[in-house]
Amino acid sequence: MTPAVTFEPRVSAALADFLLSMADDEFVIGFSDSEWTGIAPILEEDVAMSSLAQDELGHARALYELLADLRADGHDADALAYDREPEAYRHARLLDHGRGDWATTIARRFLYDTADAARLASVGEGWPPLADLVAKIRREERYHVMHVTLWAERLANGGGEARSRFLDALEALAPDAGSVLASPDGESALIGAGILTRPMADAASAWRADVAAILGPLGITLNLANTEARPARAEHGEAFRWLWGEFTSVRRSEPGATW
Amino acid sequence: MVVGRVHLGPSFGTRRNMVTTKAGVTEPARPAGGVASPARRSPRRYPTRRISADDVRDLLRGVADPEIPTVSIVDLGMVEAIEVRHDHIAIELLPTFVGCPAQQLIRDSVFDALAPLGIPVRAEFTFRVPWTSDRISPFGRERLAASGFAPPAGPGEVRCPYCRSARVAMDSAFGPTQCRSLFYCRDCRQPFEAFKPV
Repeated sequence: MTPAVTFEPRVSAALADFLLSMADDEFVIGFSDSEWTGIAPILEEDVAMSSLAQDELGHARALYELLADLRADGHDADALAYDREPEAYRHARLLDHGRGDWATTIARRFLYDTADAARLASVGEGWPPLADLVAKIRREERYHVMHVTLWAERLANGGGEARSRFLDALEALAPDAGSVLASPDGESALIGAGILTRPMADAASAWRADVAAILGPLGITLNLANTEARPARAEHGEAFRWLWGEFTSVRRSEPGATW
Repeated sequence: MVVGRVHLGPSFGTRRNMVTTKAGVTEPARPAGGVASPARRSPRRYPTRRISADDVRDLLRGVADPEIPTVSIVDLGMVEAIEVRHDHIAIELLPTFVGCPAQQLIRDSVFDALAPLGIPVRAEFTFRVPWTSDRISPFGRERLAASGFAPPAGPGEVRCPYCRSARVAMDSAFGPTQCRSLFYCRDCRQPFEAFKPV
């Protein structure tokens, strides 16, 4: 059994924020993936996007459950996922872009999955419940990166409309991509407690190198410097409001319903 | 601030012949009329000395993951620990995938399988140890192959479960459940599913 760990308030507050941002990221991208169920370009991708959605929503649930345990304020994972107003979600600005067409979906997933991998690689042993979960999640996320990298190559090497749509999508998303690895509040406290092993700025450098190593051979150069002044994880726009209306509709139509 | 362990919902069984006491612990139901009030009852003792962890494991061989019905959770390597304590049996289970939707069903099946022992059961999913496809037993791998489902193998090592050919191609890393990939055999021209190595 996991030994109980006691943290100072500033560490537990920073940990709670960090868990919420990771959980919201996985929840929002997972829900967007599920929008392809039934309408993906080919049957295999219909199955793949549905399976990816299931993985990501599973990761979100496990992270929300850790957060619910940490806060112990009576809000369970479902309450965290469904009972907040749109402004209270802390997913990255990158995910405020809707799924768009297939090229946008692949470009967004590519930027997110590679950044998420760098974030997961920055989680240390400071809080065993999170370290254990992240070890398990990383084994699954490997497949996500493999899948999206193959698609990035396929679109980039496809030439014509496939390549131009993919490049347009990457260019449109690039200014927001670094939001996934924006430094969380209380980062130094998280590093001090061993919950993170490095600042997110270091993770972002590693991520930019990873992306360049994949896109370079495809003849694509992308400027991933974070030049946006807008906050990384707040002030979500209209596309997210619409998505929020979708994913909370069942919950709002019958509060407290169980399956 | 004290942080508890990872858990996935209520961890005590509430199935069939089990009842929930005021303390939230489940125990075997007793015939009406013969039950003292919980407040005055002395702590119960169960004949756990006659039961070994191996007995429990044997009963769990009858429990399958509903997504892989031909292999028991024991042969899949999902049972991490069995502890027979003086007043209950504690079982630690490992989910194959974090978001596996069958977890609640599997836990309910564990309670059902152990109900004949008449002892409270505590079953909990944990990420303390990551489940990996290496945990599948040799017998489990045989059973997978016999059901047309290629056991997990590294790149280039997957064999067609029908004709054993190595001339196979992965159609998609993602299949109908989280743990499966889609393959095609170029020799016997059968599509088949393979367990994802994780």
